[in-house]
Amino acid sequence: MKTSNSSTLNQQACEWIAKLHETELTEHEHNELKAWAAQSDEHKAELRRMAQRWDELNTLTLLAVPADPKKPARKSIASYFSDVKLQLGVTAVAALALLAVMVSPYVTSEDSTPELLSYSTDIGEQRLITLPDNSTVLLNTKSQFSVAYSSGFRDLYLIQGEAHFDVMPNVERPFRVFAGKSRVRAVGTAFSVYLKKATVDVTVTHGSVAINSIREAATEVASLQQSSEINPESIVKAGHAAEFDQLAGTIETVALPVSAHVPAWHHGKLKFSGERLEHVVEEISRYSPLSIVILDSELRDLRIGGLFDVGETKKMFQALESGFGIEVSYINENLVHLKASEVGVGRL
Amino acid sequence: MIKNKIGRSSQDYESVVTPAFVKNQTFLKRFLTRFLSSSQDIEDVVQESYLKALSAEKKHEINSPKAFLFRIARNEALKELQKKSRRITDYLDELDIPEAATSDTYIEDSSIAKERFGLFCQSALEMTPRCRKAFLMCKVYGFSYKEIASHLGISVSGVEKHVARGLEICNAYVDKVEGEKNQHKSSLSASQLQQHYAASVTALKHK
Repeated sequence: MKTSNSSTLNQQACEWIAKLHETELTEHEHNELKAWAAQSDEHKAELRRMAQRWDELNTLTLLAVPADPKKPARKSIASYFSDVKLQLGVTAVAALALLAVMVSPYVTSEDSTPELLSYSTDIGEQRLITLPDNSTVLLNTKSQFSVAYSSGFRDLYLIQGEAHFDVMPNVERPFRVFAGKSRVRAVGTAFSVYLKKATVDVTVTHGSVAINSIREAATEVASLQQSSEINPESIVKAGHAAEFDQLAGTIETVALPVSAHVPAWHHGKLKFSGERLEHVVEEISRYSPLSIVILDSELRDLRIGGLFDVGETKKMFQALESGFGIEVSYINENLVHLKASEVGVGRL
Repeated sequence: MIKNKIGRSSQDYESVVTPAFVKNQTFLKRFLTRFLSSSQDIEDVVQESYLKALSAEKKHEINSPKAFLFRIARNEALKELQKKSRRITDYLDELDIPEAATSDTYIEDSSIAKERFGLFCQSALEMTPRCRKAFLMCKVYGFSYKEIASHLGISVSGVEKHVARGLEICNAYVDKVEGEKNQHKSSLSASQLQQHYAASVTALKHK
């Protein structure tokens, strides 16, 4: 029924409505619209029809949901998604996919003025995010952080995993990362923060950062306001890594060898230079949903070296088999066993 | 604090709305900032929402005061968006563009409206992810083009294009489905269709 001619007409009408929604037309635009509409009755009718459609579309506000600041948005949506899928079929799934898209820009903390945006990655995924001030965050595997920018501070909350921050300098608006019971403050610098169970590891690639211990783990603005007590800070400079002990509140700093100044994961690589197999398995597990179990306890201390692509778990296992005398058996799709191979060649 | 003659007497219950209001005031304001222009408007609407919630509480128990307050605020937000879109209509009046002569008038709370809502939701899935995001941030949460631009890292005119394209896609989708429905009235009854959409609406509301 529709000709290509009328589809352009419709397109133009939509463009006018989108313009009229927000901006006051300039005199020139006003005249342009007048001339456009004067072309034919069809033009006029189409403009009216789109204005009406635009008005109807206001019902979409019904989709607005108050986000619960305590739950990471992705997680709750994801679990909801799978529940409802079973009950309501395709239409609901479609609608929910839509909802999942929308909720992400609107994760707010209920008692705070700053805006909270939340970002996350799946296992094996890495993601580069540009923040409103053009600072960037490289989010490593299975990680999550939220952004709470206010007029005074650029605050980020690392909720899970690891992230590298490349900060746009702005002395008036300090850039701070809260991870567990630590607070890392930076002014014009680049650094990584890895939130582990017992420690928070900070690696500085440019400039310097100041690390503070805070009393309560801050995962949202509200809890930060309660933890008023901020202990004295430690300065960590470029080329150094700091390990912050969450329990003791102590910070240990080490200088990194030049080769480790830029962590390999920034380039999507996993690099091992003589780490124990136990540690290597722990690292590989971060990028893969597989459970990896070391069966022979003497293997735990085996030293491993190599450079692997993130997410290429199979290749890593092949390397372990061929180069390190380890036998890799896939028990099922979720479980992998590592044991000493009978040949036993290649042990370091 | 407020005496009431009908419904529950204020001694019978402890207000849950009041503490919820105190706790969530900032949240409500933040939500409304998207839709309302001046800070005075926001204050007024927030106060009004509170009063409405209080009087509703007098009549019946409110289980989830935060959600309740939010719903009221959302209705106010809807009114604001309507003001905005009606401004466009007024402008068209000024331009002497004749009103639509078709019978396709939109009736609030009608089954058509409910059905359309489902179609609008579905049509968003036809959009590219960026377009969808821009469109929904504009129409669901009332973000300004400027805010959307900075969120997506694109220009304001880029947002405007996405929104225009979103409207185009949505309209085409609604026309197509409603056109098909009129052609195949025998295969799917109106009530069947309505149930179909009601399911998606319920699912969305649940969240």
